[in-house]
Amino acid sequence: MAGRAIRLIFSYRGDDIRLESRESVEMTAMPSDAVEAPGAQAEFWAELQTADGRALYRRALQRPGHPSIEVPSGDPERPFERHDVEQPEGVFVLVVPEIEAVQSLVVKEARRTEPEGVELTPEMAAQAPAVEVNEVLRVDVR
Amino acid sequence: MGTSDGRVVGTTKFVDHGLPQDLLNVVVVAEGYRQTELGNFANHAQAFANRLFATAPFAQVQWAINVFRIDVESTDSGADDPATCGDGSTGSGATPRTFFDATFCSSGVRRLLTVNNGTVLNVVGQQVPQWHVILVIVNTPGWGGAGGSVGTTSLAAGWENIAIHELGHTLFGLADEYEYYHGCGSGETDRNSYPSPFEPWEPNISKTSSRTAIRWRDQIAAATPMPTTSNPDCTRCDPQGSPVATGTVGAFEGAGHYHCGLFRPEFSCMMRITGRPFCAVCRRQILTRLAPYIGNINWDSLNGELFDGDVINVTIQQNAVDPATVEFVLEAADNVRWWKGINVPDGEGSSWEIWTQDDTKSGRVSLWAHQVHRGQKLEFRKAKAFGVHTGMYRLGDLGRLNPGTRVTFRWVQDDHPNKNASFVSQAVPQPMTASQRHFVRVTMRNTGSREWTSDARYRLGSQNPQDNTVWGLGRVELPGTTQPNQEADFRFYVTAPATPGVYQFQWQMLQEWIAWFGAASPSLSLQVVPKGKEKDKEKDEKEEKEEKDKEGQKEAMKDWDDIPAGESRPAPPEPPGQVGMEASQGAPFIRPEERPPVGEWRPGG
Repeated sequence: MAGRAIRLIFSYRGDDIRLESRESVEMTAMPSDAVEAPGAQAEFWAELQTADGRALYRRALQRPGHPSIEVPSGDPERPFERHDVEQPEGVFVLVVPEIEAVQSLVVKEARRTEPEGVELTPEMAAQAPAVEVNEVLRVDVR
Repeated sequence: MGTSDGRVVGTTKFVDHGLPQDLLNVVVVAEGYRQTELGNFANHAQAFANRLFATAPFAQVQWAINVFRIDVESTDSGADDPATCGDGSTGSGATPRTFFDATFCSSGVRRLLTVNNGTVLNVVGQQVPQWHVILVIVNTPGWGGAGGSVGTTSLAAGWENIAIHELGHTLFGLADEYEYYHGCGSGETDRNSYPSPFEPWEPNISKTSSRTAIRWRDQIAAATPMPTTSNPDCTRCDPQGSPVATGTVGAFEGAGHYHCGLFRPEFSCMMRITGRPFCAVCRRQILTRLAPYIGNINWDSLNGELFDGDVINVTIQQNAVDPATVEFVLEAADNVRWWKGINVPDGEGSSWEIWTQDDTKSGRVSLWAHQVHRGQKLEFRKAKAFGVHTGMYRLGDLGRLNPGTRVTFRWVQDDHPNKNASFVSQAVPQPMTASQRHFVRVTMRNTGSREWTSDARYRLGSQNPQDNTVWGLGRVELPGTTQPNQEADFRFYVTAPATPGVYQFQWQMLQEWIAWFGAASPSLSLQVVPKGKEKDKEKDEKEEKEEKDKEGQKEAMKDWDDIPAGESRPAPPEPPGQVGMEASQGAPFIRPEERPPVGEWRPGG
């Protein structure tokens, strides 16, 4: 259903992420990823929250500032190659639906930690990752 | 160098599938093109769109996407090419004056081609406010590019595919499925095995190859070995070819920049090697994210054929009703008989449904004019199967309807009755050997009024259950264009499930992404036996089987006789042994071994 969306443009330099602009646009945002998941389905994501902290929309993102970039290799059989960069910088853009009940857009990251003294099976790791969730950024979108 | 070195000439929506507020909007921007070269840019932008819409699944859902072109002229051609770079490479030292100041050698990597993002965002925000992703085409033949919300590409060979790969990351959150970092021949030693105990977050790579735990387990056929490939030497990229047919979904080791420890869903995919279609798992992710954009139509697309073959004409009459109201009318032409409807929202949280069916040829509803808001959408629905009403098209921009207007939608063409098929025959070996390939044949007759073509995505699809890949594939490509009243002879290999047992075998025609149609083949209960046991089992069960077959034949004949005269019905069941069926006595019936298969087949849905 078409409606309004909010486009947020962020810049990043290394781990430093800043909101550069925010505008309301008559357009259709992509659908939400599953919001019932605890959030650790991704390493980095943005979510729309109500005033009481309930997530109504979630979008997994590629971590900005990742110290690795992809460029074409010129080899048709192996068409890409990756390189490390010391101080990655750039922009990333989010288009999220404008929802009346939403108060904030919150950017979060999950750092996965292995529990001490427990040897994880692949199934355990896949189904119940131990994570520490950090809030990276919060933007009031009312 | 920068915006003083050129100007924005204009914007063209050169792939126009609907209102930008309703669809996904891709914007292609020119950089490093002189005024006299903007014609080349138009060709380059078109080449990108052509490649995108030739790539599955975009070919099937192109009506969900608009593509815009922003012509920007620069004083000079090309991009900056620093003489020295942090990676030790050397360049020409050229510093052409271009509008977005494109340059190679960003962050010390020669092939990292970047532009002034702020300038690009300003220009695109003004020209196409509803943009979702931007691709800047830089007019230079050198190798370079970058992904992200503001992606860049040069014009080096294969650039269109590289740009599509980057869209896979930016718009759809897909991971790289290649298994190296610097390159397979680079001597890299830190890419032997995925080091984390945790699952990657992207949907198209996995740490596990367990048939029951892998995230795309529902797309794996029972007969596909798991893992499908394992890398025997984790110090290098796996050199082995695929042991399974192209398109088979399984778990192939080597993905996410690691030689071992991560698995990808198919042997090849656009996220691994450019020029390939996206794999089935990636396609599903793409379609999930495109869902809000599929099915939107605009007022200009009415009166022409819509994507499902329907034609709905529209007439707008001003000052035709009470000036405080707007009236919506749905009519059906005489040849349109199945249920059709429009859901009309009242702008206050409720909606009305007007409909037609058989001899009920019109329906209407009036709303107060203030209830007809611009942000609302009408939803056109139709019966795609008995009693199943499917939302087909969404039409917005209702603000154009002034108070006192009557808008009449007349459904004049319904694709449903134009597509039909009857079952002719099938030949299937019985029993089958577990995990072995077996040749089968299913013949369908085109009993509709439209030709079947591969381009229109007519295929044979698995049923019972729908879209299953029990036999190693869920679709079989059309062997050739099939005119009305001609037969399509699908000859293909199936792979029996690895676990012995009894499995259903049934097929039906479909037009991909649109509808299943016509009669399905009779569902066969096929026995799958362990390898080497076929003869013993046949011998052991011979007497019992003969008895059952006799009973089954009686039951089948009874069912067959119950079909009313005049309706399409299959031929009486074949005697036991090779299971073969034919629906018309005149139809040729050739046993599988007599001719090689000709139909291209592909697994998955």
